[in-house]
Amino acid sequence: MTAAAKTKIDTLAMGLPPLSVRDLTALVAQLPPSERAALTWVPTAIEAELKRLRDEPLSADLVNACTLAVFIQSSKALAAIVSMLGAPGFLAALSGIYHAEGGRLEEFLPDSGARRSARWAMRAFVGVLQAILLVPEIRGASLDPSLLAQSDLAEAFKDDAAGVVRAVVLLMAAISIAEQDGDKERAAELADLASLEVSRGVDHLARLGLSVELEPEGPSDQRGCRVLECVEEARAALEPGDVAALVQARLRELR
Amino acid sequence: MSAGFLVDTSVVSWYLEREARTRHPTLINWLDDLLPREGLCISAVTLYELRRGVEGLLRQGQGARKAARIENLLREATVLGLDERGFVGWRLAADLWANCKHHQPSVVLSEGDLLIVATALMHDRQLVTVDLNLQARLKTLGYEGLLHLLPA
Repeated sequence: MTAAAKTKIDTLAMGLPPLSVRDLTALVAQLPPSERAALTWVPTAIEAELKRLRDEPLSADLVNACTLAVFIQSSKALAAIVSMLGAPGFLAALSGIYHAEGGRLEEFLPDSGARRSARWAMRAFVGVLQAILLVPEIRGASLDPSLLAQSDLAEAFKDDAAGVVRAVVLLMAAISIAEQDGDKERAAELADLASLEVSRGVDHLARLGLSVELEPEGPSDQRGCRVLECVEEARAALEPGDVAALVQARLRELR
Repeated sequence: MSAGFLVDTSVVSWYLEREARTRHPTLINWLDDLLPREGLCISAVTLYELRRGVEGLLRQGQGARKAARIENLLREATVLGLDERGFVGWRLAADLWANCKHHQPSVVLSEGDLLIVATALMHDRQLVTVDLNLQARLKTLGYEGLLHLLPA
């Protein structure tokens, strides 16, 4: 793994926010009072970004802007939390949070396809966390606040490497909808987008040298049955012209 | 005896149609019976072709839902390539291309079809396709044993 790749993964690992404002607040509450007092505004600032993801038309620019803002806000709290828990303790705490929040979100989502997307994203997050724990250089890392001052951070958050962080923030927004018993369709859209983003992110991490092993969706002997379920879910989502578009994209000649 | 089946992109596309059950009942019944036992086995070329389609949908502003549903399906598929065992699949593909070119009269396969057929050869799987032109061309080349033909 190159030094540049390690820095990218380091930043990603220590800047992964918890999945809800409530979880972040609970972690901040574990800090000593003096540090806690300086961070009380962080959950409110993050909530403002999640509101944008709940209410505004979804676009790549909006997702990038909100992700960067949540990353910067949460990193200020996470630097103190990582320092208190240590990198392995922090990543283990995140893993537990992701499992629990994932279950709650699944109960809220309106259809089996969106629930499958959310499960996949959660499994990918946990896989990323486990993979990071296996990298000795990162296990001892802590968040470097100077990273937040880098002028190219905004640019870095537009590429696939940040897909995992974008996905976490999208799911934070979906979870915030569930907590408010809000628009289920919007939550489903956010979960679907998160699954696509995390998929790109995991592929990009592999290119950087971090191989992520994912827990299977279920028993391997039921994989064929899951294929049938996925086909039904895809049929329900696709419109008549979409299959024609898939056919048109077929490989005719190598150019 | 082959190691199983490899379904091509045309089959996956038909299978995904909302009206598939009424438009292609024989194919759908066969797949509904096969897949729970053997799972979905596709070529890396089919994965690539479907991902091209997904990207196309996304860039037309079609939203994440459709793309996510197709990605969910692809994650459950077994994907076979040409690189295993010292890239021998690519030699099979080159041989197949040469067979097409030197056949009298010459036979034309699209690059995608050619690589999918080579994948089936490489992994000793029967190819399932609903592309009648491809079926005819493979028969012309003497590869009819590679095909798994469904009843009309």
